[in-house]
Amino acid sequence: MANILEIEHLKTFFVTDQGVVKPVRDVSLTLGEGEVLGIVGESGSGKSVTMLSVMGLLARNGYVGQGRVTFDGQEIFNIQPEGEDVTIKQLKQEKKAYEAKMRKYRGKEVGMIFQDPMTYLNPILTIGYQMSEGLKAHFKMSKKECRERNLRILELAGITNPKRRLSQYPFQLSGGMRQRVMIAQAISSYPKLLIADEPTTALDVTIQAQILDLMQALKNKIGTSIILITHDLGVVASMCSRIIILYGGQIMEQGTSREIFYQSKHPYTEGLLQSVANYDEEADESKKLVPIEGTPPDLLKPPAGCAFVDRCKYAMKICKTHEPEMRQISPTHACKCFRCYPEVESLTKGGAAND
Amino acid sequence: MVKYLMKRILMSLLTLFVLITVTFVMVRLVPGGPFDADIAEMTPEAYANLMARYGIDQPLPVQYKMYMQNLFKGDLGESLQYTGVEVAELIGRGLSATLSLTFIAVLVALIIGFGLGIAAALMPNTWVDRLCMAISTIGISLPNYVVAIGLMYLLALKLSLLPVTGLSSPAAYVMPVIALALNPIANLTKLVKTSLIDALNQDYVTMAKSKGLSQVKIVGIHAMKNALLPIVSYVAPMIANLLIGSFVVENMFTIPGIGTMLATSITNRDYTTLSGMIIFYGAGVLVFALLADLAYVFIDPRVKFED
Amino acid sequence: MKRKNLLKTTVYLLLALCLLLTACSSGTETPSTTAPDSTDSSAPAATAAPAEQEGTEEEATTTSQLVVSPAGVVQTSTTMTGAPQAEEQRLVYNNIESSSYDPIRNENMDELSSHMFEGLTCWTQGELTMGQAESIDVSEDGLTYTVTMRDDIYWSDGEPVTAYDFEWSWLRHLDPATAGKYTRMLYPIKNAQAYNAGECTADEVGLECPDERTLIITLEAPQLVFTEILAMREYMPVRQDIVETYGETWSLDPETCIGNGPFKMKELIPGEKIVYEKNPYYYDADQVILEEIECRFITDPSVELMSYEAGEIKIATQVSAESCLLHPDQSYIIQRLSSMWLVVDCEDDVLSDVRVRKALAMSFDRQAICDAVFKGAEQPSYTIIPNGMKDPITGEPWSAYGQYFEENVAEAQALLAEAGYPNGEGFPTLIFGTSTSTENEQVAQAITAMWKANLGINCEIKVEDSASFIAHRQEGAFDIARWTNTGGYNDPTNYLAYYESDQPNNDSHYSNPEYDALLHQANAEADIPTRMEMLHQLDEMLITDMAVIPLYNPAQKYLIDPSVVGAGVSPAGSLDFKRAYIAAE
Repeated sequence: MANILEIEHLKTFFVTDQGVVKPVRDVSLTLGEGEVLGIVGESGSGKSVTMLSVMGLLARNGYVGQGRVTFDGQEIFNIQPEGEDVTIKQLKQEKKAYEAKMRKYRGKEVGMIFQDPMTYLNPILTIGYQMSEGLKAHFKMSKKECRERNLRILELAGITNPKRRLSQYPFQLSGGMRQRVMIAQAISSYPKLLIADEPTTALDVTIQAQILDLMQALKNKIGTSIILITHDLGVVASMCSRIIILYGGQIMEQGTSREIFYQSKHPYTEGLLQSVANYDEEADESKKLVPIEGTPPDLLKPPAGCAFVDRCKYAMKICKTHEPEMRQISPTHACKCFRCYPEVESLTKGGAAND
Repeated sequence: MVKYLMKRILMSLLTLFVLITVTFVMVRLVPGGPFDADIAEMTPEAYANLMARYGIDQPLPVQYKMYMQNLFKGDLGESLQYTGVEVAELIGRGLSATLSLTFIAVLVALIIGFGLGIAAALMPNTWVDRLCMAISTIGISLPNYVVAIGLMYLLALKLSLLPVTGLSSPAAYVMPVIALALNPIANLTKLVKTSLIDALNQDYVTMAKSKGLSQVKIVGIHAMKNALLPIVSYVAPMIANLLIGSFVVENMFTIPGIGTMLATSITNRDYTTLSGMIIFYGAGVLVFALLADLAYVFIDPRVKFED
Repeated sequence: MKRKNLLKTTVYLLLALCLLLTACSSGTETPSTTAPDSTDSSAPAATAAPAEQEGTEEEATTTSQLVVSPAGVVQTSTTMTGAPQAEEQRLVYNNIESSSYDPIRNENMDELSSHMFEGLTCWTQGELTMGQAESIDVSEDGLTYTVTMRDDIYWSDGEPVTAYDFEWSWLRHLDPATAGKYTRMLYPIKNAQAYNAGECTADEVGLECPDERTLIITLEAPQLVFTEILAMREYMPVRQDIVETYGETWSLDPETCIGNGPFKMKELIPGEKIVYEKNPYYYDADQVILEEIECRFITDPSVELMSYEAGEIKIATQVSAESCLLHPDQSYIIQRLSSMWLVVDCEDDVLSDVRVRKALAMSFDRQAICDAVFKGAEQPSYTIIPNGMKDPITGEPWSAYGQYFEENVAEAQALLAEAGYPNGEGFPTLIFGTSTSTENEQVAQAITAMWKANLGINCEIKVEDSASFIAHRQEGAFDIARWTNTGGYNDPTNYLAYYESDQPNNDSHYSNPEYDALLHQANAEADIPTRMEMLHQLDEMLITDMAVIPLYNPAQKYLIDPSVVGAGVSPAGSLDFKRAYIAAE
């Protein structure tokens, strides 16, 4: 099974008036065919920017500084700067080149859905028009063919009265309906990869489950691989086979769903799990939600050591000055924390003090 | 929609009616009558004959009644300045001169305004952007008579490229059109730029990009359609204003348009022509406001007709 | 950051450049100050050439740089007199348009109508000549004029011109239904005023046509220069059938604008231009050289100047003194039959004292004002009768008779003190009214400044647009107001008649029974020298009582291209092109 997407050591930065911001500091991942990968992190963790970088949708002032990305076997870009001094001009040229490459895939082999269907759908164009755009551009379909395809897709997406919907505008649909439309639009080209950036965040809980079910169903029908980006662990629990935890622009922990939920090693993951309402445990009266104290790191001046050090319960002196390496715990499970080092593990297992 | 249109037309007519009445009264309150300029040369008999011929010696309410009655029949009356000439004909004459000029000025303003605005929006903080904004600033700051004189001096006198006055040849249109269009171009450029940048920053543009659409489609349809609303708000009165004709430009270039006609009818206290012009302007502005509103509905389906 | 500053600087420089261009190209700046002694500050004046050396009747005053000529042929030192004619005889010039070219409705210079229409007499190159009439006999008592028409006169469509045309035209003008503005000019004719007031019928008016070549005119009272009056536009004939068929707009269409003058209308674009072509039926057509004349209607003097300098027009008529100084060898200035003075409210508390009025009249420097504001083209005047007004018999200018007062600040101050306001103490603020125009305002400022300096009198200047100003002046809203008059012919009575008691235009509210009596006497006097003597006496009375404060005589200025030869100008300031031609360059 070939990998649909491979990302190696991606680094992305933005040039702003205040200086250079580094939201993605080292991200690597692979996505196999038919897989559902979850990327979890809080706002500012770099999860959206990672995918935007890969898709070539970065803003004007955003550049990929380093990294290699392959899509469906084809190399999209491989930026390996020699030394510290690399000019914006060179990066601009690279950017232009790979953006052009990705444009061919966007809307065809890769589909994207976003958080808020109200703002991401053009409010003054009809549903039908917006759904047909991609088809016309990539497949040169005629009006009739587009209409047929759209109707089929809308039905698939569980939208009632699809004929009427085609001539309606986004504001005439309910929130859940709009998100279905967005999903329908994204899969209408039967893409190999579907990237869903916070697809349920703007919806209320009852609709959330429906949407997730829909995505699952569609995946089975069409065979798309999905990357699901979210801050909500509950969302990834049901759908994802593998999960990546991002923090401060780096991967803190990655593993299968089971491993992350039941065998998490990273303090951040632990914190996340504790701060989510626990469905599986019996509802104890007044079980408190334990939030993680503190705020994410300043990406203008990223910390030299572990990104999580300021908020970590188990922080050690070394955590502040040195960045831990990613250590494999099992073939599928890796963790980036000094506590995962076998040497340290043995110490903590013994319940020794932090030193 | 029909109901809405009917309501709007009715309101417009009412507004026009108030406008006419107010003008009627105000212009007669201004000191100096239509024939007072020559009063030193006129004998009392001549003056009396003149007032009688145009009915100005009647009391005000009588004059008003007569005027309104004629108006309903579609008769705007005879000009007080141009003996024997109907006001409608005067307006028609002036309009034909102004229209050819303003039509071109509107086209030029739209094409260049949009062109510069789009260029500036697509290439922000580059020399293109700065050039467009410089042109915009100059266009807003220079009053059109300065532009007119400057152009005339340079192009007509010093370089002998264009005729100084009149609209006799296509070349003669160049300077008046520039003088008229410069300010609208300047405003439009800024407006298009900010509106378009605003639209381009919206999420649906990201969505459109993620679908792999071409830049032309993204800017031209997704962004532009949304950016149009504030632009339409500006363009509709802009066209109405250009149509009204600029007294300054027409006077400088000796173009017998309606802008000049309005100004001279005030100085000459030509009541009938002035009223006729006000009606024309009022109607023009109202029509364009209506057209703008209709345009909104067609552009943005979220805007509904009020019931 | 640096680039931003560079752009800003460039933009500012560009703006400054544009403003500079405007300042240089505009020819109408008159930044003269109110204090008469300061030197001129306008830039173009600094480059003025010395005055031209043409022979004129007027003396070139020492401080002025412009020379004034009488009516006659418009020519400058560069006019190519005697040069051969050019191939194309087409003259393009500029003047103010009129709302109608019907001679009785034309509210501007009658020139645009007088190209197309001709009266019994007419002006040719500044001389009064016979026009459509072959001869005019005057009775002993000066009341009956028997006109014999020429036998070769035709309208521009070939129809013959007859005496009936004249009779009908004048009666039409006087008809109350026609509501002609300038019927006053026809009032010398017996019962004309009565008919115009609707008090009698047309038959009773003093006009008779025994046959188609004879017209007998009976006057109310003897006139000083009735033959000159006959040349005026109010006496020009129009075609009865055309006016009756086409209504009042007949003169706005070349098809229906049929006249009997040297040229006829070829094209009219209101607001833009009028084009004339030679009238082949004119009796003197073989002397008319120009084939076509185009008159443009540029109103802005700066634009007109640019047009002249670009060679697009060959005669400019809305010319300021500065523009004349820019092109001194192409400028021609005539002293029109025109006068500017101040009316003083004689019924006002303080102004009813003749000493006060005299003090005001004597305490400012007219020459200085003329030099400063008009660069000497306008001439100071000590009477309201224009200096160009000639005695019909001796031909002498009016001022040759005598001047009735002089400027003398010391005496003025003494008079004011005598009247009870030494150094202006206790003198109320006077309201000085004038109409909008840079020059009018400057004159007002200069005069009031001098009054303040010399007499200690304060004034409040009120500037209003024409129509308002005239209305307010008539209502008596001003203590002192500007008055101007442009007469069409050499009769001082026009001016003197204003100040008869209870005349509607007597804005000075001057009332002197002696004056009224003498005026009536003069109007009935047939003997010309006696009449002139009486008119001079009236002038003296008016000035001695200082019911008005004379200012100056306005001049008409032209810029004329050297290739225009033989153009004429009448004393009223109308151009005629009957003998004009374009010289080959």
